[in-house]
Amino acid sequence: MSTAENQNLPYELLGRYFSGEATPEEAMTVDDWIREHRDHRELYDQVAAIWDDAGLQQRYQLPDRTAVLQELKARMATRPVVGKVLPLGRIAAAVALLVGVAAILIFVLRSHNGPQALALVSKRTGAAIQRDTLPDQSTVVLNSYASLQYASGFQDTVRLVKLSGEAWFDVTSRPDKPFIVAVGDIRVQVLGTSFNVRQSDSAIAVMVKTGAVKMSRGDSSIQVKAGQEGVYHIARKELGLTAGAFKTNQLGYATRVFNFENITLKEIVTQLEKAYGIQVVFEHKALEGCTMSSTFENKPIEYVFEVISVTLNVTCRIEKDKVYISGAGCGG
Amino acid sequence: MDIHFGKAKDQDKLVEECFHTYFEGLHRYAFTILKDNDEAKDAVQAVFLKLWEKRAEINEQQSVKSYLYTAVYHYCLNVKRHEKVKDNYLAQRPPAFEHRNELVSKETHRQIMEHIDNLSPQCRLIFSKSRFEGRKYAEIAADLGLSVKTVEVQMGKALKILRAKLFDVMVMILFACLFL
Repeated sequence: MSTAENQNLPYELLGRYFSGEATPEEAMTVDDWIREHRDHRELYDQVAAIWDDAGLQQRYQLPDRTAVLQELKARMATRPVVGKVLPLGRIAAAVALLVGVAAILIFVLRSHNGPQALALVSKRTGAAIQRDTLPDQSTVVLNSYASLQYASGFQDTVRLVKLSGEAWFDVTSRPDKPFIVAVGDIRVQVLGTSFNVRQSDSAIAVMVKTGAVKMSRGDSSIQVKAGQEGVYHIARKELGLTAGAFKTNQLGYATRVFNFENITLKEIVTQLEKAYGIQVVFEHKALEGCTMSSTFENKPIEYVFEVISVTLNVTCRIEKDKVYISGAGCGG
Repeated sequence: MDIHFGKAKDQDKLVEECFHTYFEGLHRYAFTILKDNDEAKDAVQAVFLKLWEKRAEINEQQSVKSYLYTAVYHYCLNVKRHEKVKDNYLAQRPPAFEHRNELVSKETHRQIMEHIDNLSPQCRLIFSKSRFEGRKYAEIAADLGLSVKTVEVQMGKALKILRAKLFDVMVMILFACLFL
């Protein structure tokens, strides 16, 4: 490239462009100029590289155009739209992820001196759920057959926990120390909120009750706000929001908040058993099929069964952690 | 190579054509304002969805290209306005993860910083305020008691000098390697 050619470069325009000052007209001028000549493209790339490399922030990366178009077409076809992000599936993203994970690992390993600091806390549940308080006073409720791991004391710059299965988190706000749940392929990052993570063979679902979280995989991510559910489809490697309503009962095991709508007593007690750690015995099998609707917001177990007995005209007898239901039955 | 909507043409096909022609430029533009690849992508998609919905109404004479760039611009400014009032859950993103530029070698970064240090004091100050503090030209001008035009000129100068120094060095290294 000749010096004379360099003199004609629109450096001031590029400065405005990279600084985010360019008007739409100026942006068009930049793009037309880039297309004008192969050398222009090269020079643009050089200046862009300097701009990117000078900062330690996110670099510019063109997303996979085909993936974006496919996603766009899907959204055009199915209005109303749900926020949906396709992974870029790029080598660079994978490299960045690996470097990131390696950096965290190195950091986690390095920032601890002494044998007790390296200790990992592992928790695992069988059929019974487990309620727990983490070192930062956040609470976690592990659903059946789940496991959770974290460094004891949470002394790192982040509060990182590794989950498999389902768990409910109520995270204390610590803006300086983000709380991160690593589950399968993805990570859920929060600063202070309550949410549920459920990992199954086909998907990882995050339901947010308060605040907001960020679900990410590589460099694609979505924000899930209160009342929403974000889903990661494992086979398709897709992140998206589900369109359906917030399923309160899904979280009942942890929150003890239930909204039963015309479902059978059998289904109701199955959820109550888990949430309250009780066992329900039907003295008459026919009672299992009775249906009712009711809402409970973290009520004592006595209250819940009081409502059930009044509504269905049955008798509920509570003995320690067992509840016996008897009576003539519903509807009569 | 502006594309115009014509009645005869299949509108659906046209939206797709526009996408292929302008996606890169629009995404790059959105990134300069939002500084976030995903947000930039969301912005461009939102604009194309709007175009899709309005495809029947758009005036035949109106350049779709300028419609798209203008729509992206306004969409991005709107996102930024919302970000300012957004509670600090995600606004205060910690540098620990996604915002760290893991792919830049320390050496490249060090070199660039060294060249930035060697710029004239005013030029360095203006470049740093824009690049590292993300200040608007108008803010920088007001801070330093200069005209916006001066800020613009100094920014251009900084980029020109940095490019010349960094890429001349690279060319020299390349030559050195060839002749060794």
